[in-house]
Amino acid sequence: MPSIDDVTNTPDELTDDDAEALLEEADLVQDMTGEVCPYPQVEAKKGLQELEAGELLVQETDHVPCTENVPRAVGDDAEAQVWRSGDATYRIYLRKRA
Amino acid sequence: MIEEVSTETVRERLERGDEFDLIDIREDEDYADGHLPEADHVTIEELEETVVDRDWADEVVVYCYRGNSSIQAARLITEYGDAERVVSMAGGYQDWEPLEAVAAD
Repeated sequence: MPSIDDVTNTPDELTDDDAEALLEEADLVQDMTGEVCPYPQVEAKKGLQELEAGELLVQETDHVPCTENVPRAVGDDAEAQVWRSGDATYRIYLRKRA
Repeated sequence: MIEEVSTETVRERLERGDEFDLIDIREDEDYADGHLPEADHVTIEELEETVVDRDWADEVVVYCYRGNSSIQAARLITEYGDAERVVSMAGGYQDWEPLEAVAAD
């Protein structure tokens, strides 16, 4: 069956191991499950403002378009990676840039 | 690359009675609170299930809250549907409502 996943352009994808390891070192985790654009974008920008350069924000979501739209919204403020669980949940990893 | 159209363009087309499918992909309660005239309510999940079988108009306009997710939805219709031209409404329903208030004065 067609999936929105097929047409969503996400940044680099993490392996399961890397995703778990990075989650452990996250400086801020935001649970955006059930939320739809644009709320996660707003929260990501606010979250990044609280962090220092090099620190890591992780957003958990079940809304596929966010895996493209949140990284696009924060733009050059952070380096983005995405992890797909395989059962319709995702994480967006945002490493704040200097 | 999905083309984006302004709320004014969509309004003009509605007022002219142009023939196109207008798709609202927002959540149920938000659609119930208010939506564009003649808009079909099709969430992304429903779109995934119906996009192949639906008989699409030649032209389709998709909108969401702010014009973000509607771009992915428009890609989905372009990829799997039989429409000729699929566009996303820039600014989404948020940009539409103020216009409604102005028009009502």
